[in-house]
Amino acid sequence: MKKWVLLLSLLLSFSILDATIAERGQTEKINDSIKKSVIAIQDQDYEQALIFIQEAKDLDTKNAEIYQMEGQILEMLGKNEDAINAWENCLKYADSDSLKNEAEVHIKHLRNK
Amino acid sequence: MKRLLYILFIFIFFSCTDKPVIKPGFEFSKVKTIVVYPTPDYKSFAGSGSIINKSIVYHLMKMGVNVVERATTPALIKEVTLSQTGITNNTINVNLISSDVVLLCTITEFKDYNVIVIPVITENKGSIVTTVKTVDEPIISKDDSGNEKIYYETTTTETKKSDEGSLTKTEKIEYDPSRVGVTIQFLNASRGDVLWTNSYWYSSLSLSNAVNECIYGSLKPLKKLLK
Repeated sequence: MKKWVLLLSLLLSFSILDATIAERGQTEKINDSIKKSVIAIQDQDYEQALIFIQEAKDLDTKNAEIYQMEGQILEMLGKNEDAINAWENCLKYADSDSLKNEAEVHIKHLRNK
Repeated sequence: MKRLLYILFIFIFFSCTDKPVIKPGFEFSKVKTIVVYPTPDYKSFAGSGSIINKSIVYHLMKMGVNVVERATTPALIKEVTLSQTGITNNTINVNLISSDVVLLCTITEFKDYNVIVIPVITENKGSIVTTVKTVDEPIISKDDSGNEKIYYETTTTETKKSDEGSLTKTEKIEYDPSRVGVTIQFLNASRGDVLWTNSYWYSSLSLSNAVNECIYGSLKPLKKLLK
């Protein structure tokens, strides 16, 4: 019985450690994709910026700031329907009132176009 | 008391909406010419007023309105007074008639995009991993009558492995978009009273697009009125 408890606790501690390392790796990957997207935006290469921001979105599907960037990029590409979806997700996951307000303004503006 | 609450509700309701405010009774459909006055620059952003004005003229003309852009900015009241007396001190002489309106714009926000680099320091506090090994060894002994007795003795060995931890420095990049905000007023050219007013703001990845979308959004409600 003692052995099993020890073995289980060891397994549990290793899995927590493993999850922490994986999470850190994921955050780095998200930041890297955002960085690449920002560089593409500065080069006015919005198609490329969209690919990178969608990579970041695949890794974190509940990040309002990623949806905000996706919405802005899609607007620059004239893909207004997709932009509305992105802003709706931004509104869904946003914590701050300013980001919620921005999403609402964009949704209303795009729907009225 | 009920009436007071009703008035309060109406006031709160209308003050919360971001719809344009219109002076009742004015026939916008009779407007033939809109005189656009120069917009003052926003704080220290030189040229911002001119950028906004060009966009206003573009969107009004797209609506099919005749637009006159003023090159100078005399005070509106002075302008109206002079036009009424038939004297105007401007080189470009615009005859303001009662069906004309004057457009005044104030820039409330004018911000270009920003790339913000946020340093992220991840602290690994380190860890101590203790491996415990337990071995049960059988020990055989004999009692006084010569019978064998087996009992187990547990030996526990502990191995400790420590990791001192580390600091990892990375960076997070954020794109703070361009943002433009305006308040537009339409004034009766002959009397100077406000006929229509609207406030609007918009953000975009580029400043020129933020200007274009902001002016488009601010003037859009006017399109129906001018028809």
